[in-house]
Amino acid sequence: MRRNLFLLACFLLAAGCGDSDGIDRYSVPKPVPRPYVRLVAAVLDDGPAQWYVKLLGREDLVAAQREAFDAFVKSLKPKGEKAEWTVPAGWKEVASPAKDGIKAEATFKAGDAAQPPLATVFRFGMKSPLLDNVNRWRRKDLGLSFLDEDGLKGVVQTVKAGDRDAAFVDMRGPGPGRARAADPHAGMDLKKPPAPRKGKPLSDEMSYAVPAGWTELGGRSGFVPTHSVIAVPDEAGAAEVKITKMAAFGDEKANLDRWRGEVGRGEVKTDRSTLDLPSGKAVSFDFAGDGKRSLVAVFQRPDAVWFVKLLGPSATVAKHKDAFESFVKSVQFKGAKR
Amino acid sequence: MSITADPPLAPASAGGPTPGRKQKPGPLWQCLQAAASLRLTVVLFVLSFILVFLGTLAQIDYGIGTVTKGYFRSWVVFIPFQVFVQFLQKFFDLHPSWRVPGSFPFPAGLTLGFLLTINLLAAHAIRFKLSWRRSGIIVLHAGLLLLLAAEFITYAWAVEGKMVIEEDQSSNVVFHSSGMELAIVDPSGKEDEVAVVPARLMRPGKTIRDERLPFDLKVEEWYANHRTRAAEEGEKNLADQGFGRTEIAVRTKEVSGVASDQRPDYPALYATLLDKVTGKEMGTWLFSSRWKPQEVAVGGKKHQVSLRFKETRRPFTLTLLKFSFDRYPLTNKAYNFSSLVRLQDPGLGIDEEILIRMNEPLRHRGETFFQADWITEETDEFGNKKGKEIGTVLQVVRNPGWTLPYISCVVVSLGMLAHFGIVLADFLRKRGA
Repeated sequence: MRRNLFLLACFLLAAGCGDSDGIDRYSVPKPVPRPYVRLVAAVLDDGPAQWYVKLLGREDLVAAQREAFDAFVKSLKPKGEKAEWTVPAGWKEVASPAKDGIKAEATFKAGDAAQPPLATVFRFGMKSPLLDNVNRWRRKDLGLSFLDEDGLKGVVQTVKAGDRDAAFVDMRGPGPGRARAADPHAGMDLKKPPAPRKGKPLSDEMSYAVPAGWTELGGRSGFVPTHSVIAVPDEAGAAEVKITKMAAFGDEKANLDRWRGEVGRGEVKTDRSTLDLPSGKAVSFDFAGDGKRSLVAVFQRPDAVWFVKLLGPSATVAKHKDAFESFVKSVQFKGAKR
Repeated sequence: MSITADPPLAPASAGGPTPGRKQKPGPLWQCLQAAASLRLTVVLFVLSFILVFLGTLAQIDYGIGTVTKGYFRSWVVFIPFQVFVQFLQKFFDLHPSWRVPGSFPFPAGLTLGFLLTINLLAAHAIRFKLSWRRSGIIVLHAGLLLLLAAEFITYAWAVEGKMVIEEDQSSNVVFHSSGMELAIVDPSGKEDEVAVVPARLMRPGKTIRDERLPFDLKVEEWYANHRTRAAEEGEKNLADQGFGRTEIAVRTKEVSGVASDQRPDYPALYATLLDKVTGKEMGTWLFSSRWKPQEVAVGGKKHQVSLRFKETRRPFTLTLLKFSFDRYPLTNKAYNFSSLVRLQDPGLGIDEEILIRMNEPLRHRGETFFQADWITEETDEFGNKKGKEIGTVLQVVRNPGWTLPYISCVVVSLGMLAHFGIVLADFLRKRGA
C-alpha cells in the first residue's frame, strides 16, 4: 500500500514538470489614447529683457482658455522689472514654486477643471534664441523631437499684443513621460542615418580646441544658459562636457555638494588642485562617486566665472581624462592678457 | 539534523523476500532501497549547500532573476570555473588578471529538490514504521515535504509584476520584468490581435515557426542586456530594416545581483523575419526592449512589433486619481508615497476609491498591490527621475503558497518537539526503572 502511494507521488511529481512552448495569441481592447497636451506661449521683447507667458495643459482645456490667454497677453504691460496685467475671469493665482532657483512672476490656474491648464509669467533678464526655448518646451512639456529653423516657422506667428509685437508659439504633443521617451525615433526620417546635431557656443568669449571624437552640440539657453555642450561618446557610456558662465562662484560648499550629488549618493572621493594654464589660473576638482565621475575646472575671470565640467560614467571619464586636460589647457578668453 | 531510521521493513509481497525464506529482492525493491538510502540524503544535502554557495557567487556577474532561474529553477546548471577565481580574487588577493575558461555541469535546484522528495518518500515507503514512538519524525518530515511543496508552488504559480498608471489614466495590465516577450500586434480589427513569443525561445540560430504568428522568425542574436548607439556610416550592421538601420545594439553586462541599484535588464533581439508562405527573407530587424513598437507589413497588413516585458491582463481596472509624494519639511526625503485609485471590477460589482500607501496595500482577487515606485515627467541620461511626479508604480504579487513556509516551520518545530519529548520520556522512564 505504502509503495503504491510512493509510486503515485512520483507520478504526480513527474507530471508537474511538463512545459508548453509559451507562444500565445489573444485579443485585447484597443488602448484608449491619452489626451494630447497643448502649449501656447507668447514671447515679448522688453528692451534687453524678455517676458514669457505660457499656457500648458490638456489640449481641450487649453483650447477653451485660448481667448482668455490672448487677452491676458495683450493686457501685459512691463514696468521696469515688474509688469501689470488683467487677470481673466475664472483664472486663479496660485503660488509659484521655485525651480532651479528661478521663480515665475506669477502662476494661474486657468479654469476650474480638476487638472486645469497652468498659465505662467516669467521675466528673463537677457534675450535667448526662440528656437532653443521652443525645443526645450517640445522636449520637456510635449514629448516631441527638436525642430530646426525651418520647422520653427511652422509653429510661430508674430501678433500685435498691445503696443508691441509678440511671438506666439502654439504646439501640441503627447506630453512628457517614460513610455514616450523610450522611442528614440519619433519624428525622424529613418531612410537617412542621423547626424549628430552639431551646434555653436552661445558666444565667442571663450575658445578652445575640441578633442577628436568629441562633438560640440552648442549652447543651450535657459534660466541658467549653458555656453556650450560637448558630447563625449564612448563604449562604456556617453559623457558630456558642459561649459557654463556665471556672474560669481557662489557658495563654495553648495557648489561642491551639488557636484558631489551628481556622481553618487554614497562616499565621494574629492580631489582639488590649482592649475596654471595659458589662459590663467584655474581650480580643478575631481569627484569620483559610485559608477560616476566628474572633472571640473573653474576659471575665475575679472567679469565672470567659467565652469567646465566633464560628467559621465567613471570608465568613460577615466579614459577621456587626458583629453579633458588638453581641452582645458586649450581654453582662451577673448581679449585676455596673461 | 540527524534522521533516526528503523531497519528496513521486510517486504511482504511480490518483489520482496518472503518471511522465513531467503529470497533475492526484486528490481523494484532494489530501486526503492537505493532511493531511500541515507547516504543519498547526505549527498543531496551537501550538494544543496554547494549549490546555494555557487548561486551566491554567481550574483557577482548575473542578476538575481538569472541566477534563480539558472541555478535553482533548472535541472542542470553549468558552473563557470571563473566564479572560483573571482572568489579567490575577492578574499585571497589572487591577481585580478586571472581568467579560467570553461564550465562544469552541476545538478540544479529542480534536480536536487526532486531527488530529495523521492528520497524522503522512498524512506517512508520502505523504512519507517508507523508508530507513536516515531510520530515526531513523521510530523517533522511532513513539514519538510511541505517546505519543498511551497517552493514548487512558488516556482509554478507565484506571480510578480508591476502596474504603471499615470494620473487620470486607467490600467488593467501587469508588466512582469522577469520575463520578456516579442509581441506582434495586428491593430486592423475592432480589437487588437496580439501574438506573443516568450524570450526563452530566443536562442541564436533557432527558427521559430508557429501558425499563430504572422511570420516565421530566425533568431540572429539575443542580448540579455544592452544599450543602443547611433550606427556610423559604413559600419557593419546586422539589421537592414526598421530602427536598427540607424541604431546598433551593444551587449552590456547584466545588472549584478549584488549591485546597489537593482534596475531591470533590457534585452535586445536581432531577428530575420521570414514569409510564412514563400519562406523568403523579409529583412533583419533589431527589436530593443527600450523602444516603442516598429511597424512590420505582412501580406498588406501592418503589424506593430516590439520586445517588451511580459504583459498579463486583469478582469478589473485601476484608475489613478492622485499620486502623492510627501516629503519631510524643508528636505527632499520621502515621508510617504500614496496612490488614490478607483477600483472597478464589474465581475464582482465593485466600484470604490482606495488609498494605497506604504505598508497598506490593496488586496484584490488573491493579489496584493503594494505602493512601489513612481514615474516622473522625464529621466536624465543616467535614468534618474527628473521633474514632476506624473504617475504611480504598484508592485503586484500573488503567491498561493506564501503561507506554506511558515506552516512548515511550525510543523517541523512541532515534530522536533514531539520527537525529542518522546525520547526524553523514554530516557526518564528507563532511568526510573
